[in-house]
Amino acid sequence: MNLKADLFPYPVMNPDLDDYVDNTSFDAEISVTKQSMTAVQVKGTFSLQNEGLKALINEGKASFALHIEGVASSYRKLCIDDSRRGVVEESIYIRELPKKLQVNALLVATKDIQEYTNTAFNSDFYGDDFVVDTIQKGDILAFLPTKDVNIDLNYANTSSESIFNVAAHDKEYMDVNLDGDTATVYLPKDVYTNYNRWGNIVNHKDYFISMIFIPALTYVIGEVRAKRVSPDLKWYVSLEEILDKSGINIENESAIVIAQQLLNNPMIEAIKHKFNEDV
Amino acid sequence: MYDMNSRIPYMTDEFLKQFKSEFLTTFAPLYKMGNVDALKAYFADPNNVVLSEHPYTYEALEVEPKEYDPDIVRRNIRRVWASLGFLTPAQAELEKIWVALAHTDYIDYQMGIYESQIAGINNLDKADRSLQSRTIFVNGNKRSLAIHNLSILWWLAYYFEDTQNEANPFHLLDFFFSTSYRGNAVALLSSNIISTQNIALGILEAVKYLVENEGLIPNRYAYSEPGRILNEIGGVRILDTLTREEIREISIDQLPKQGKKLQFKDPAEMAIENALTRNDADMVNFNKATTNNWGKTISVGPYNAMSPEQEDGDDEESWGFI
Repeated sequence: MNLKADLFPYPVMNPDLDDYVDNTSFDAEISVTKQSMTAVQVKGTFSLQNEGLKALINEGKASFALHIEGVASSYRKLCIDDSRRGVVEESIYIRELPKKLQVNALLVATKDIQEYTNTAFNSDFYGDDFVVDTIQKGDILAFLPTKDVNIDLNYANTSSESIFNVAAHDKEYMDVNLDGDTATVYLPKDVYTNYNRWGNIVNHKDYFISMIFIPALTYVIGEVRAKRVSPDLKWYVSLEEILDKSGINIENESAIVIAQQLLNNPMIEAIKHKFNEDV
Repeated sequence: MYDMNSRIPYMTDEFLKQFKSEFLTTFAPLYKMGNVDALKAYFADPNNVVLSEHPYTYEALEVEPKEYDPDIVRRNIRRVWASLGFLTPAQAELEKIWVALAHTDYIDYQMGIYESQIAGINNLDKADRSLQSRTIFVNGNKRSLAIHNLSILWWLAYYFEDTQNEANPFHLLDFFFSTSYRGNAVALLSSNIISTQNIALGILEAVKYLVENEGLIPNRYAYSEPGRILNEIGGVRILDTLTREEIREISIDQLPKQGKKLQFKDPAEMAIENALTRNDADMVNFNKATTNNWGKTISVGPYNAMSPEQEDGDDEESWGFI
């Protein structure tokens, strides 16, 4: 869940909003640590200076919370600081674990709050005596920018080819399907058979990468740039990781150049092997 | 048929990869030729499929015919839940389990669905894609689970079994299955909003209420709009803090305000329907013309209204089956 510093129908504390004059008085340190090969712990340690909001917590009307959501997975959990310690901890196990988490640190209303007012409301926007009629249970009172966390438990694939799955079809041309969690390259049956046999052989690998994955990845990057694909898909998340690690911004270069860079420019070796064999 | 000695099967990663890669060229043709024995042979190979230690009581499913029969689906979902309800959500997300089950204990159901609902599709590409999407995961994980022949039933039961109703925990699903359910299931289960049982039950209860009391026609939008509304609300209000009842009330309040995407029956028609005595809306098979919000006349029976896409015959494609 990517919370945005957008317009709320009532004052909300956030560093990018001016609803409160002390808009940085809500803060949280979020850490994600590996507990074992099969689990990570997400921990949020909260701090809050605003007296009005602190009073709501003490009255049991509001609580600190972490909202944790897995990108490209069904994992989603709200973890509330019921004990008012200012700390929220949650362990996530590998069977549930997505590759990327979005973590939101929040202060949420845990009951309806009638006639809420706060001395720190920005009077430039709200005047001197602004009162919110009703804050409903679940309403966000304060939040921080969403924190994206990549989970690496040594099983994540990070190569450009790994975002693809290769399959066969009964057509005479190559096609790419981006609807699934793995991008699928469909090859004519005979090409698929040859790819399976020769695709990992050292002298032939670059040839197949040039013939198959350069055009496929060029297409993928074009679709990503045009925003015609869902960012929730696992291959999309993996590609973002790869681009990030490679320091490549897809807006700055042509798709075909980026595709070759990500695949380590295989064309030169492919041609060298091909024509040296023919000589 | 019951088998109390079944164990949950898992495809190996290698075989799953091969099965998906060669599905269109190697395995789909076996379906077309009706070569069940060849399919069974692949899945009987211990190098391809491993049996876990999880025993379960298998019960055969009835094949859904081409002409929709809600009672068959109602019986099937109870069987699937009785047999496989013990799976954890994490297990039930695994493609390697569902594809294995569909080609071992449930292969008669899998082949039956192909023959009754897919084999007759004239467009061969469309038929291939339909078979593919109902057999292996070709969309995002959530969507794929909502389309696969077996997992769709498990996940519907997981989210919508109402344990608060001791007399009939499946009462909401019995309502849901009153109309052809696959497209509506994709609309519901694909949404990231349906992430907790509270939210899921609240939404379905709201739709049921509006159908039965306000004449809402249960087309695809009736099931996709609640997710969209709650998604907007979720930007301000954390839905996970809300109870099922609160989700229900929000949905009942907001759905009728969504404009012409949602169709409501004419109040006079509602009055006639409500005046009829019946135990089950499906037992009454009358059709009366009514006018939807677009001014287009469509004929409806109880709960059998179609969305414009369904009327155009493109429902499988628009619902993401292909």
